[in-house]
Amino acid sequence: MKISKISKAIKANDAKNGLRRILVASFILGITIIFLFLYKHIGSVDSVELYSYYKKMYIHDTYSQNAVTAIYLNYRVFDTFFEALLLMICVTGIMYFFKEKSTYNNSEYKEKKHELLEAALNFLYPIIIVFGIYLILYGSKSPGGGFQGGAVLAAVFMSRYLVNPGAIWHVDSLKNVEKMLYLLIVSFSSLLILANSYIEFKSLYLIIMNFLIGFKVFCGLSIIFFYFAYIDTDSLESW
Amino acid sequence: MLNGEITSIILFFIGVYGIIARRNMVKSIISIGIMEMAIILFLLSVNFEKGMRAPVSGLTSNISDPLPQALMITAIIIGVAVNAIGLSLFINIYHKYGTTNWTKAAYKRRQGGRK
Amino acid sequence: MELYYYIIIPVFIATLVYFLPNRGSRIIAFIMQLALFGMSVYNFVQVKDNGVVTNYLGGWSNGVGIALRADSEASIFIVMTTFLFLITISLGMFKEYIDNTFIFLFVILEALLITTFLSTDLFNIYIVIEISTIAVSILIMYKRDSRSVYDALIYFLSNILGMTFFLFGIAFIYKIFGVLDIYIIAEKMKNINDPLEVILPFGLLMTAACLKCAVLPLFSWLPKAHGTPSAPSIVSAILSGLYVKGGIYLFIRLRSMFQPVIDIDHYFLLIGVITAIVGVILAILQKDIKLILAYHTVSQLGIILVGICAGSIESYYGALYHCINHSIFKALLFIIAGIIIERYKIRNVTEIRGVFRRMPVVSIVAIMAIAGITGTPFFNGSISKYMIQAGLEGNLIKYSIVLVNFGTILSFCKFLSMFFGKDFHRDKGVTLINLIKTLPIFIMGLLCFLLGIMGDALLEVVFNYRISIISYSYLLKSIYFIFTLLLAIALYKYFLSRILKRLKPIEFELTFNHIALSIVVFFVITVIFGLI
Repeated sequence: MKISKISKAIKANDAKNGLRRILVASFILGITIIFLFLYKHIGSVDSVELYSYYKKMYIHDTYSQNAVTAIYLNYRVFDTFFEALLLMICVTGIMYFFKEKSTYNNSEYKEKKHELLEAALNFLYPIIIVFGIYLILYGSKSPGGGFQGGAVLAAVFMSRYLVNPGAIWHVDSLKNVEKMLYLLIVSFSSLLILANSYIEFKSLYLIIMNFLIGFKVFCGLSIIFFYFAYIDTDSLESW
Repeated sequence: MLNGEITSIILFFIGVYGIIARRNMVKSIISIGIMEMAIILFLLSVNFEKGMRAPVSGLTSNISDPLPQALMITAIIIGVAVNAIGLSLFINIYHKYGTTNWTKAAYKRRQGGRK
Repeated sequence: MELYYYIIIPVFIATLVYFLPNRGSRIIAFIMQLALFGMSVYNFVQVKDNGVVTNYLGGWSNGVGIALRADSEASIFIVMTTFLFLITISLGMFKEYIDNTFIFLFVILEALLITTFLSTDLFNIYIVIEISTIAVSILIMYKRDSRSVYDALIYFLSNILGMTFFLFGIAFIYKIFGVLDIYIIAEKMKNINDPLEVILPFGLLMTAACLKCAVLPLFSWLPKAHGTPSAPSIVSAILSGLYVKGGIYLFIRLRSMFQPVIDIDHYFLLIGVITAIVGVILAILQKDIKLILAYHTVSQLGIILVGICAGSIESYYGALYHCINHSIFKALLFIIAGIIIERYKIRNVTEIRGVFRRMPVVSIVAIMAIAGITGTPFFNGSISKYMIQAGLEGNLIKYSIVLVNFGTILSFCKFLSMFFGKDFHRDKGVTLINLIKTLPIFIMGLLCFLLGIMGDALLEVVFNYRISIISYSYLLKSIYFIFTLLLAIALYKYFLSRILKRLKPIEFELTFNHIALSIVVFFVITVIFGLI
């Protein structure tokens, strides 16, 4: 009796939801069509100005073989400066939001080791490290760069976690390293912004900056990963 | 006919639909992710033509526009940070109110109670 | 001096402070703040003497890199920012919950705000606003109250959603113009003949800017962020006093960027009027101190928007002057609300009584701030509101602004009633440390008065604009003010206070789905108005 009442209520609710969704969908569809129509009439005023400048000048200006690196490390390094800050604030926020939570222990995972996974990842993770460092160091010549390399390197800790989920990690040092790296990034990018005319400085600068950003991103992403992976555990408190 | 820009506009509005019609918090965060991906696709297709090469190894002719690519690295990092913060806030809310539904959470917030 | 230093110094010091013990970090932050305030005043004088200062970062010119640009408006906003941060940090020196993480986020927020005022690059502004959204959503939950997680998530997601529209707008701008620098785009805008060609970026960018200005359908995040229980009062002060001004400044610049092609001031004027009226009505119906102030921020932002879009020089400068005034008295009111809440442990206006007896100095300062916001003659709000009203055309808008001002007075009668009545808790006598603690708010209260009586001189120095306050009409306005005040007090005493006692607290609650819907609808309406 009761169950049938509840299921009736659910059905009525579903019908209402379905109608609402159809209404929203048709509204959005209409907007999309108008948007596409307006998109067809969009203007264009000398729209390749910057593109053609960068295409011509990037090697001459920045001594970088990679135009993308040239832009985010030299022309628009101010953006990168804030981008690294963004990651740091994000880490601060996550540390703040998760501080006081501990409901269950994940020592139950301690016994569970996936042997196949362990063998495969043990084989893979030196390759991950080498590939990440390659991306960072050759970011100014070939595809790659600090952010990409850092993201690849962050896979190291993830694979370690997958191999042994019961282990307790101490990320305090990672946090401090991240802050230090950010200070270095700030000082280095300021050096470039204030003294861009010294040519000898430029190609060395690209490598150092990619290196700093790469390790900064690596630290930041690893910390974020650990906070999410060990959420609701006791080990969270000890960090 | 269906180039990258038109695809990305459609994708953007799929994200908008998800945000307006779906009451699940996780789905809202995912929808914002979809919208960001759509914009990334749009910016990468600006000034792009078939047969263009990546702007690396010192090439200067027939390369794709490097500026959107550099901007989109930033946008991707922003997307990561936004997802991380949004999900961590969501986990806190779920812990407190025990629901993923916006309407129910708003109701419980007004009551000031817990789950 | 390079403009870059105003951003790099706070960021560097904030990161450095993150390593230090809590006590030392406060002192370092305070000293840095003092230096920064001095620097910003120096910068203001420089801009005043030599005209606009532009720094091309890295030496790249013509939109290739990122440029920082300080004109007289930006530099006065920066002076305001550094001043308010100086005051709030010196107040925060004595609070227990201030640790170095807080100082890190707080000082970073200052650097980000300064960047929004200085940067001319659209994408740079996007990043900065995105970071400040994250930083603010951490700061408003800093005292950890269970209710505020929901508020923080709503605030966070609705602002991120708005900024997604902004990024899409930037993408269209890049497709059309091929550059990202606001001033170069403004130059190129002259080559566009048909509004149809730039309507999409206009709609997308303006939607985001209006979300940041908290205009009518898009303001429901603002009371959540500014009035949430866990936000420290100094954070609320900065948010309501300064952070929304970043949105206003963004709106001004985007508006002037699109001005040659799309000029829909009448639309924004209408929105501003409606926002002001709705904001003040919601403020009257609130009982929570912080929420009252937050809704007043919405209504004052509406008035500022009216001033900007009214089309006359006088209202425009009145609106800018109102930005300055509003940031001072609203920050002051939030700080005082924080002090009162801390002392009484309740937030309901109808239950707090006898503040004047318990805290006489704070009450005097509070009355000065209230005098500012209600537009009492000889206080700062009166000058700017007078200027905004003087430039308006059309009786309907004029009377609705008068109505809004009446509502503000009525709502602050509720606030004033806190100060009267009996309260038998007496504080101990005045000590030196208490005096030091009240010194910053006393300075701000004095500023409310000084900006009022020296308003015309200040306007001439800051904006090179000579205001002609006709003494006769100003006098008439003063008499009129006294009349409205008496009416409002009577109305409050015999009508409103009785209703409020029975009324349950009304919040203008929208769930996130509705907020998203309102953003999309606002975008559509903006596009439609842009085309006709």
